[in-house]
Amino acid sequence: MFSRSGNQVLLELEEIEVELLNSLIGQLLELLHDPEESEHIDPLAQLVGLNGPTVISEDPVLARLFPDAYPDDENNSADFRRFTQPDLQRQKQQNAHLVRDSLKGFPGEHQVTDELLSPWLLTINDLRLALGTRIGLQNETEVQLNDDTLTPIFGIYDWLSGLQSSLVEVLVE
Amino acid sequence: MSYVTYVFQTYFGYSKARAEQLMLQVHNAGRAVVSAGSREEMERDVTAMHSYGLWATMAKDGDV
Repeated sequence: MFSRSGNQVLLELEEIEVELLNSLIGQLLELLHDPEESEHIDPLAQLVGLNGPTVISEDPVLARLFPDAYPDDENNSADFRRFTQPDLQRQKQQNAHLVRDSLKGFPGEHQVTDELLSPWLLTINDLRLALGTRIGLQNETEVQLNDDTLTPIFGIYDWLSGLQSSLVEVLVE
Repeated sequence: MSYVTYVFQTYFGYSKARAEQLMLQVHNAGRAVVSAGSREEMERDVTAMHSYGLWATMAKDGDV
Protein backbone atom coordinates (compact mmCIF):
# COMPACT_ATOMS: atom_id res chain seq x y z
CA MET A 1 0.00 0.00 0.00
CA PHE A 2 0.97 3.64 -0.48
CA SER A 3 1.78 5.92 2.43
CA ARG A 4 3.33 9.32 2.99
CA SER A 5 6.36 10.19 5.05
CA GLY A 6 6.96 13.92 5.01
CA ASN A 7 7.39 14.87 1.37
CA GLN A 8 8.00 11.34 0.25
CA VAL A 9 5.47 8.87 -1.07
CA LEU A 10 6.29 5.34 -0.06
CA LEU A 11 5.01 2.07 -1.41
CA GLU A 12 5.24 -1.21 0.42
CA LEU A 13 4.77 -4.44 -1.51
CA GLU A 14 5.26 -8.04 -0.58
CA GLU A 15 6.85 -10.45 -2.98
CA ILE A 16 3.55 -12.04 -3.97
CA GLU A 17 2.08 -8.59 -4.67
CA VAL A 18 5.02 -7.72 -6.92
CA GLU A 19 4.52 -10.97 -8.83
CA LEU A 20 0.82 -10.31 -9.14
CA LEU A 21 1.35 -6.78 -10.48
CA ASN A 22 3.98 -8.00 -12.93
CA SER A 23 1.64 -10.64 -14.22
CA LEU A 24 -1.36 -8.30 -14.49
CA ILE A 25 0.69 -5.61 -16.23
CA GLY A 26 2.05 -8.19 -18.67
CA GLN A 27 -1.50 -9.20 -19.54
CA LEU A 28 -2.58 -5.59 -19.89
CA LEU A 29 0.30 -4.82 -22.25
CA GLU A 30 -0.54 -7.86 -24.33
CA LEU A 31 -4.14 -6.73 -24.54
CA LEU A 32 -3.01 -3.24 -25.53
CA HIS A 33 -0.96 -4.72 -28.39
CA ASP A 34 2.24 -3.33 -27.04
CA PRO A 35 4.65 -2.62 -29.95
CA GLU A 36 7.19 -4.96 -28.37
CA GLU A 37 4.75 -7.78 -28.89
CA SER A 38 3.07 -6.60 -32.08
CA GLU A 39 4.28 -7.78 -35.50
CA HIS A 40 3.73 -5.04 -38.03
CA ILE A 41 3.04 -1.37 -37.57
CA ASP A 42 3.05 0.98 -40.55
CA PRO A 43 5.63 3.61 -39.47
CA LEU A 44 4.15 6.33 -41.71
CA ALA A 45 0.61 5.73 -40.53
CA GLN A 46 1.89 5.80 -36.97
CA LEU A 47 3.76 9.03 -37.63
CA VAL A 48 0.73 10.87 -38.96
CA GLY A 49 -1.51 9.31 -36.37
CA LEU A 50 -3.95 7.78 -38.82
CA ASN A 51 -3.67 4.19 -37.74
CA GLY A 52 -6.42 4.37 -35.17
CA PRO A 53 -9.37 2.02 -35.39
CA THR A 54 -12.80 3.45 -36.17
CA VAL A 55 -15.06 0.96 -34.43
CA ILE A 56 -15.31 -0.05 -30.82
CA SER A 57 -13.54 -3.29 -29.89
CA GLU A 58 -15.51 -6.51 -29.56
CA ASP A 59 -13.38 -7.33 -26.55
CA PRO A 60 -15.34 -5.99 -23.55
CA VAL A 61 -12.17 -4.85 -21.75
CA LEU A 62 -10.87 -2.89 -24.75
CA ALA A 63 -14.37 -1.51 -25.29
CA ARG A 64 -14.31 -0.24 -21.70
CA LEU A 65 -10.77 1.19 -21.94
CA PHE A 66 -11.57 2.85 -25.29
CA PRO A 67 -15.29 3.63 -25.22
CA ASP A 68 -17.33 5.40 -27.90
CA ALA A 69 -17.25 9.15 -27.37
CA TYR A 70 -20.58 9.81 -29.13
CA PRO A 71 -22.86 6.94 -28.14
CA ASP A 72 -25.57 7.85 -30.65
CA ASP A 73 -23.36 9.00 -33.46
CA GLU A 74 -21.37 6.38 -35.29
CA ASN A 75 -19.53 8.75 -37.64
CA ASN A 76 -18.37 11.16 -34.98
CA SER A 77 -17.40 8.26 -32.73
CA ALA A 78 -15.36 6.76 -35.56
CA ASP A 79 -13.51 10.03 -36.23
CA PHE A 80 -12.87 10.62 -32.54
CA ARG A 81 -11.55 7.11 -32.08
CA ARG A 82 -9.32 7.31 -35.15
CA PHE A 83 -7.65 10.46 -33.85
CA THR A 84 -7.48 9.75 -30.12
CA GLN A 85 -7.14 6.02 -29.58
CA PRO A 86 -3.54 5.61 -30.82
CA ASP A 87 -2.30 8.25 -28.36
CA LEU A 88 -4.40 6.90 -25.52
CA GLN A 89 -3.14 3.40 -26.23
CA ARG A 90 0.49 4.57 -26.26
CA GLN A 91 -0.10 6.48 -23.03
CA LYS A 92 -1.46 3.38 -21.32
CA GLN A 93 1.44 1.29 -22.60
CA GLN A 94 4.03 3.83 -21.43
CA ASN A 95 2.45 4.08 -17.99
CA ALA A 96 2.34 0.29 -17.66
CA HIS A 97 6.02 0.04 -18.67
CA LEU A 98 7.05 2.73 -16.18
CA VAL A 99 5.20 0.95 -13.39
CA ARG A 100 6.64 -2.41 -14.36
CA ASP A 101 10.15 -0.95 -14.42
CA SER A 102 9.66 0.63 -11.02
CA LEU A 103 8.65 -2.76 -9.61
CA LYS A 104 12.20 -3.97 -10.09
CA GLY A 105 13.26 -2.44 -6.76
CA PHE A 106 10.59 -4.36 -4.83
CA PRO A 107 9.56 -6.22 -2.60
CA GLY A 108 9.94 -4.03 0.47
CA GLU A 109 9.12 -0.40 1.14
CA HIS A 110 10.49 2.14 -1.31
CA GLN A 111 9.98 5.73 -2.34
CA VAL A 112 7.84 6.42 -5.42
CA THR A 113 9.13 9.55 -7.15
CA ASP A 114 6.70 12.28 -8.18
CA GLU A 115 6.88 11.57 -11.91
CA LEU A 116 5.84 7.96 -11.28
CA LEU A 117 2.74 8.80 -9.24
CA SER A 118 0.54 9.47 -12.25
CA PRO A 119 1.64 6.32 -14.13
CA TRP A 120 0.93 4.31 -10.98
CA LEU A 121 -2.49 5.91 -10.48
CA LEU A 122 -3.55 5.37 -14.09
CA THR A 123 -2.14 1.87 -14.43
CA ILE A 124 -3.79 0.64 -11.23
CA ASN A 125 -7.06 2.00 -12.59
CA ASP A 126 -6.56 0.30 -15.97
CA LEU A 127 -5.88 -2.99 -14.20
CA ARG A 128 -8.98 -2.55 -12.05
CA LEU A 129 -11.12 -1.76 -15.07
CA ALA A 130 -9.75 -4.70 -17.02
CA LEU A 131 -10.29 -7.13 -14.18
CA GLY A 132 -13.68 -5.70 -13.21
CA THR A 133 -14.91 -5.95 -16.80
CA ARG A 134 -13.62 -9.51 -17.19
CA ILE A 135 -15.59 -10.65 -14.16
CA GLY A 136 -18.66 -8.74 -15.28
CA LEU A 137 -18.55 -6.19 -12.51
CA GLN A 138 -20.81 -3.34 -13.50
CA ASN A 139 -21.61 -1.94 -10.12
CA GLU A 140 -19.13 -2.70 -7.39
CA THR A 141 -21.67 -2.21 -4.64
CA GLU A 142 -23.83 -5.05 -5.86
CA VAL A 143 -21.44 -7.90 -6.17
CA GLN A 144 -22.95 -11.35 -6.29
CA LEU A 145 -20.72 -14.33 -6.18
CA ASN A 146 -22.46 -16.95 -8.26
CA ASP A 147 -19.34 -18.50 -9.61
CA ASP A 148 -16.81 -19.88 -7.12
CA THR A 149 -14.06 -19.87 -9.71
CA LEU A 150 -14.21 -16.09 -9.75
CA THR A 151 -13.64 -15.69 -6.01
CA PRO A 152 -9.82 -15.30 -6.27
CA ILE A 153 -10.28 -12.65 -8.96
CA PHE A 154 -12.59 -10.71 -6.68
CA GLY A 155 -9.85 -10.91 -4.07
CA ILE A 156 -7.36 -9.41 -6.52
CA TYR A 157 -9.90 -6.78 -7.55
CA ASP A 158 -10.41 -5.80 -3.92
CA TRP A 159 -6.68 -5.62 -3.36
CA LEU A 160 -6.28 -3.32 -6.40
CA SER A 161 -9.12 -1.17 -5.07
CA GLY A 162 -7.32 -0.88 -1.73
CA LEU A 163 -4.05 -0.01 -3.45
CA GLN A 164 -5.86 2.65 -5.48
CA SER A 165 -7.52 4.20 -2.40
CA SER A 166 -4.23 4.29 -0.54
CA LEU A 167 -2.66 6.21 -3.44
CA VAL A 168 -5.59 8.63 -3.77
CA GLU A 169 -5.43 9.32 -0.02
CA VAL A 170 -1.71 10.05 -0.27
CA LEU A 171 -2.28 12.37 -3.24
CA VAL A 172 -4.99 14.46 -1.54
CA GLU A 173 -3.20 14.62 1.83
CA MET B 1 -11.88 10.01 -1.31
CA SER B 2 -12.72 7.86 -4.31
CA TYR B 3 -10.67 7.82 -7.49
CA VAL B 4 -13.57 9.33 -9.45
CA THR B 5 -13.90 12.23 -6.99
CA TYR B 6 -10.16 12.75 -7.17
CA VAL B 7 -10.27 12.95 -10.98
CA PHE B 8 -13.18 15.41 -10.99
CA GLN B 9 -11.37 17.59 -8.48
CA THR B 10 -7.97 17.40 -10.14
CA TYR B 11 -8.95 17.72 -13.78
CA PHE B 12 -11.94 20.07 -13.61
CA GLY B 13 -10.73 21.93 -10.53
CA TYR B 14 -14.07 21.36 -8.77
CA SER B 15 -14.39 21.77 -5.01
CA LYS B 16 -14.37 18.61 -2.95
CA ALA B 17 -18.10 19.00 -2.29
CA ARG B 18 -18.97 19.48 -5.97
CA ALA B 19 -16.71 16.61 -7.05
CA GLU B 20 -18.28 14.30 -4.47
CA GLN B 21 -21.78 15.30 -5.51
CA LEU B 22 -21.00 14.43 -9.13
CA MET B 23 -19.34 11.17 -8.12
CA LEU B 24 -22.44 10.18 -6.15
CA GLN B 25 -24.63 11.06 -9.11
CA VAL B 26 -22.51 8.82 -11.35
CA HIS B 27 -22.62 6.10 -8.72
CA ASN B 28 -26.39 6.24 -8.20
CA ALA B 29 -27.77 7.29 -11.56
CA GLY B 30 -25.04 5.78 -13.71
CA ARG B 31 -24.03 9.15 -15.10
CA ALA B 32 -23.74 12.87 -14.51
CA VAL B 33 -23.13 15.92 -16.66
CA VAL B 34 -19.67 16.93 -15.51
CA SER B 35 -18.79 19.51 -18.13
CA ALA B 36 -20.43 21.65 -20.79
CA GLY B 37 -19.00 23.79 -23.55
CA SER B 38 -18.02 23.92 -27.20
CA ARG B 39 -17.51 20.74 -29.15
CA GLU B 40 -13.74 21.23 -29.11
CA GLU B 41 -13.69 21.73 -25.36
CA MET B 42 -15.84 18.68 -24.81
CA GLU B 43 -13.68 16.51 -27.05
CA ARG B 44 -10.70 17.62 -24.98
CA ASP B 45 -12.50 16.77 -21.73
CA VAL B 46 -13.73 13.40 -23.00
CA THR B 47 -10.20 12.55 -24.15
CA ALA B 48 -8.89 13.46 -20.70
CA MET B 49 -11.58 11.39 -18.96
CA HIS B 50 -10.74 8.41 -21.16
CA SER B 51 -7.09 8.73 -20.22
CA TYR B 52 -8.20 8.56 -16.56
CA GLY B 53 -10.25 5.50 -17.45
CA LEU B 54 -13.61 7.17 -16.85
CA TRP B 55 -16.42 6.27 -19.21
CA ALA B 56 -17.12 9.71 -20.67
CA THR B 57 -19.32 10.49 -23.64
CA MET B 58 -20.64 13.69 -25.17
CA ALA B 59 -23.88 14.75 -26.76
CA LYS B 60 -25.57 17.94 -27.89
CA ASP B 61 -27.47 19.80 -25.20
CA GLY B 62 -31.00 18.43 -25.18
CA ASP B 63 -29.89 14.93 -26.18
CA VAL B 64 -28.25 14.18 -22.83
